Parts: sequence; C-alpha cells; structure tokens
Amino acid sequence: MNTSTLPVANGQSGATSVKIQVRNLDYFYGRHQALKHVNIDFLDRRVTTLIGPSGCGKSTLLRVLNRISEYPGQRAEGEVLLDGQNILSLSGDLTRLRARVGMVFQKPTPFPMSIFENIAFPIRLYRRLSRADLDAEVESALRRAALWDEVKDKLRQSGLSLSGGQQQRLCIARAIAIKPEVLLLDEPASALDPISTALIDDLVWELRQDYCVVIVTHNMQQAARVGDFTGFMYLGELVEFGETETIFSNPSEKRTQDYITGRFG
Amino acid sequence: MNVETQSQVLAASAAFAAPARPPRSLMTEGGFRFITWGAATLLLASLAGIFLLLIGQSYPALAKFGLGFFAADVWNPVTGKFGAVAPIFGTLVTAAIAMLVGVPLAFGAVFFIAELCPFSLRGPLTVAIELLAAVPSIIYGMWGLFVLAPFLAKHVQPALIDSLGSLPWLGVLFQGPPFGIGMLTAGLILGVMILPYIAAVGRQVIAGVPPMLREAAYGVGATRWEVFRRVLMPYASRGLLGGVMLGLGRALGETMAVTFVIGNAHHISASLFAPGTTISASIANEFTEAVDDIYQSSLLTLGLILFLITFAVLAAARFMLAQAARQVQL
Repeated sequence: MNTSTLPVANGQSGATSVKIQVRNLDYFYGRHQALKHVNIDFLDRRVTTLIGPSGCGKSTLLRVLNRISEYPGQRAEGEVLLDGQNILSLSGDLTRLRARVGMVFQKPTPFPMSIFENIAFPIRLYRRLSRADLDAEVESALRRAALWDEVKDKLRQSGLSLSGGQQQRLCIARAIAIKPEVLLLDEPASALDPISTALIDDLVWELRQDYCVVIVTHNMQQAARVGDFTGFMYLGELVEFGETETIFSNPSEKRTQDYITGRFG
Repeated sequence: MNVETQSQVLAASAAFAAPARPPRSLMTEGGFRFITWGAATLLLASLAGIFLLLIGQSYPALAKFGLGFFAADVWNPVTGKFGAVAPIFGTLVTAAIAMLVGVPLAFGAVFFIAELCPFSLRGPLTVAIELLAAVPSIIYGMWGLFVLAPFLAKHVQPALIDSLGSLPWLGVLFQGPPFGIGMLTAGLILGVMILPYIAAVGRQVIAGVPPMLREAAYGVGATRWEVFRRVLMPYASRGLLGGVMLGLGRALGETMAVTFVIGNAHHISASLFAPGTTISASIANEFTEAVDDIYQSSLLTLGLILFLITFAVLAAARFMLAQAARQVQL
C-alpha cells in the first residue's frame, strides 16, 4: 500500500535529483500514531503537493521535514534524508537545518516588527551585510514574493498592518530571504481570498525554478495547478503518490479517486 | 425606560411570541441594571471621597508650609516643621532598586518557564513563583530584619564598600557604615516581593503568543534568545508592561516590609546603605504619635502625594501601553 515509487519520466524540462527521501517514517503523538510507515521522495526544483482529508497526517509529515514540531510526547521513527543525511538523528542546534528547510504556515505569521525588519531580521542571523547589500537583499526577496510594488513606500510600517494576503507573501519573502534549499508550505492559502490565492499559486510556480517545494493543501484546484507530483494521504498512510496529472486523471486507488471527486473527505 | 413600561412591553410582546417565558429568576432587567450601576458608582464615589478627604486633611499643612512642603528636607515634630523631600526620595529610590532587581529576575523566570524548562517542571515552578505572592508582607519584613539585613551587613556591604566605594562617580552610592538596614535592603526586599506579580502576568502573556508565530521564528533559524527578544517580547509587550506597572505600583505603596528594614530616618543620603524612609513607612510609623494637628496634617499630605505619584505612574503606564500598541498594531 505504501508506495515508494520515484517517478522518473516526469516530462518536465531539466534534470533533477532527489532532495529529500522519507524512509519508513512513523510518527507518534503520545500513543496516537499519526504517520504509518510513510515512504516518499521529494525532488529538487519540483513542486510536490500533499492532499488528503483533515487529520490524515499531511501537516505532520511536512512538520517533520524541518523538525519544527518538537513537543513532549511526540516522536518520529524511521529516516528522513536531506541530501543523504538523516535529519532525525541531528541533535542539538537545529538552526542550520531550519535555514536549509524554510516553512510557511497556514495563517500568516509576520513578526511584530517593521516590514523591512521582517525580512532583514532572518538575513542578519546568517550573514553580516553592509547596509546597501542588506537593502538589496530585502528588495530582491520582496520582489520574488511579488510584494515589492505594494510595500516599497511603507517599509518602516509594521508587518502586522498589511492585509492577510500581503502578510502571507511577506512570510514567503521572509522564508526565501535566507536562501533555503527546501520550502515547506502548510496550506498557505487557506486563510486567503481567491485573488491572493492565485497570486500565491503563481509565486509557487516561480519558486519551483530554484527550490524543492512541498505544499500541503485542501484545495484540489491548487494541487492540480501547481503540483508536479501529488501524494494522497489517508489516516496516516501515503495511499498513492505520482505525477499530478496521473493522480488527478487516472488514479490507481479507489480511495484517491473518491477523495478527488469529492465523494468523501 | 422604567420598569413598568418595560414589563408592559414584555407583556405585549409575549402576547405575540408563541411560547411565553416562564419566570426564571428574581432578577429583573431593571434590577440588574440598578445593581451594576450602583457598584460602578460606588467605586467612583469612594475614589473621589478618598481624594477629597486627603485634600481637605492636607489643607492645614499645605497652608502653613506652602509649596515648600514638597522641597524641604526637614521633619521635626518638636519644632513643628515638616517637609516631604526625604520620604519622596526614599519611595522613589527603593522602588527603583526594586525594579532593577525584580524585573530582570521576573523576565528571566518567565523566559525559562516558557521556553527552556522541561515540561514536567513547568507546573511546579509556576506555582512556586506564584506562592511568593502569597507570603504576607510582614513575613518579608521579619525575614529582612532578622536574616537579610545582618547578612548584607556582614558579607555583602563591606565587600561593596571595598570594591565599588572607591569608584569616581558611582562610589558615593556605596559609602558609609554597613548597617544592614537602609535603602538597599528595603529595595532588595521589594524586588523579591514584586517578582511574582511581574512573573505571573508575564508567563500568561507569553503563553498567549500564538504557537505558530513562535514556530515561525524558530523556523527561520533564530535561537531561543533571538526568538524571545525579537518576537515574543515585542508581541507581548503590552501585557509585560502591564505586569511591570503592577509591580511598580506595589513597590511604591508597600508599607510593612519596608518599615521593618529601611531604618525610618527622615534623611536624604547619597549612599544606598544609609537609613531612610518612604511615604508609607513614615505614615505607618508616626501616625499614632502625631498628636498635634499640623503633624497629622503633614502625614496626610504625604498620603496625598503617594496617591498622586501612584496615579501618575498608572497614567504613564496607560500612555506607554498606547504607544506600544500603535507601534506593534496588535
């Protein structure tokens, strides 16, 4: 049931490699097992979407990838290999890992500081830059997140003064400002209006050129639109994984088909 | 709308609405309004009453000494000359020491409990800190007099005099005989006393920061200190400041513990080791001895001044909160 197929002929231009390999991953919240023996590969410079009903474990899987969810009583078993290195066995300082694997959350999480500082603060954690270089980096991150034109005249204002869609793009700009290798997006558009959602989708398509992108979404159109690959999860299992077109047009599992066509979930 | 017309309206509408409401409680709409209105009014009236009484009772002293009362460093019941500078000075200095000691300790405890401490320790530690607030102030006073003051006099103050006492500018703060009792001891005790208030409020507001924001900050690779300093503290600044002001209010007004250890001398000295007095300590100590009118009136004027200082602190706190709110736009 737990497929570990690595789709090779993806028809997209450009060669790519496996960025993250998940091997036999089990995850427990206390006694509840949230992930069951999950095997999946995430390719570099491709967008992989994870779909499935609420509580199926897709957010949990995402949160294991940069070990953001470390609370008492929770544990992961198995292997998560980032460029061949098992991140589950890392101990101590995880800031290096999180710099390589950036994350954007369901709800916008701007820091309580100015728009400029929201981007500059994480940059400064890693690099010492001159004022001019820092300005350039902030501008470039905001441009890539398609936010520059809207905020260039009010960089000193609080990040919390922006609209929801702008805040989410600010968070994406913040995530890419520190030049991660992998970008994790946990239902990035769930709190946004359709126009902001479309902007985020375009943005994800752009980001695909440089990053390994993993998106969790409840939105079937979004999954179909932006994903190169799609994984369908149900009750902690990865039911089916493959090229997005195949999953949506010709799924091999009945549960996948039922979910996509809206028969449950 | 008075009660009668209201019940008429209710009766009229009951005729239209299908199921009539059974009489469930004795509390009518009008009665409830009257009780809540009365409670709010009584509060305001007692505040105004206290203020007016203080002004009235202060009048003899203010009439005799004028504005000089606020500037004179003299307190002589025998000659009947009084001035408020020494107790005002003592109140402000001890409160300042208390804040210097209490605020960093409280924030440190809050940060440890919120971010670093093992999950199983969190509950007991929180309760322990909040229990500090349950210790009666007279216990703090006795502990200060019998334990802390002798300890400071024997071990800490001589060392401070030898080391810091010879510094060019700061030195004057640490000179003079090491009595044990004095401004420093009072300030230290106050610092411990206000700690639980600041820490309890701080722990709650930090715990109220959305977990996602915290995770986002860790997610960009910030260290624990960076998350606390740059994200949690600014986000919770209003609540944290509220806790600090609560502590400051208590430090300014605390009476019993301070009276035990401050030395009760109407005297201004640059040295923190010197005995002094505070407004509330003076009133508590001397009210029973204040036989003549001008003495009693002077003490009540001190009370008025404390009232005004506390009021000013609260007003400043409100202003700062409004500023912080505009900055962060929560």
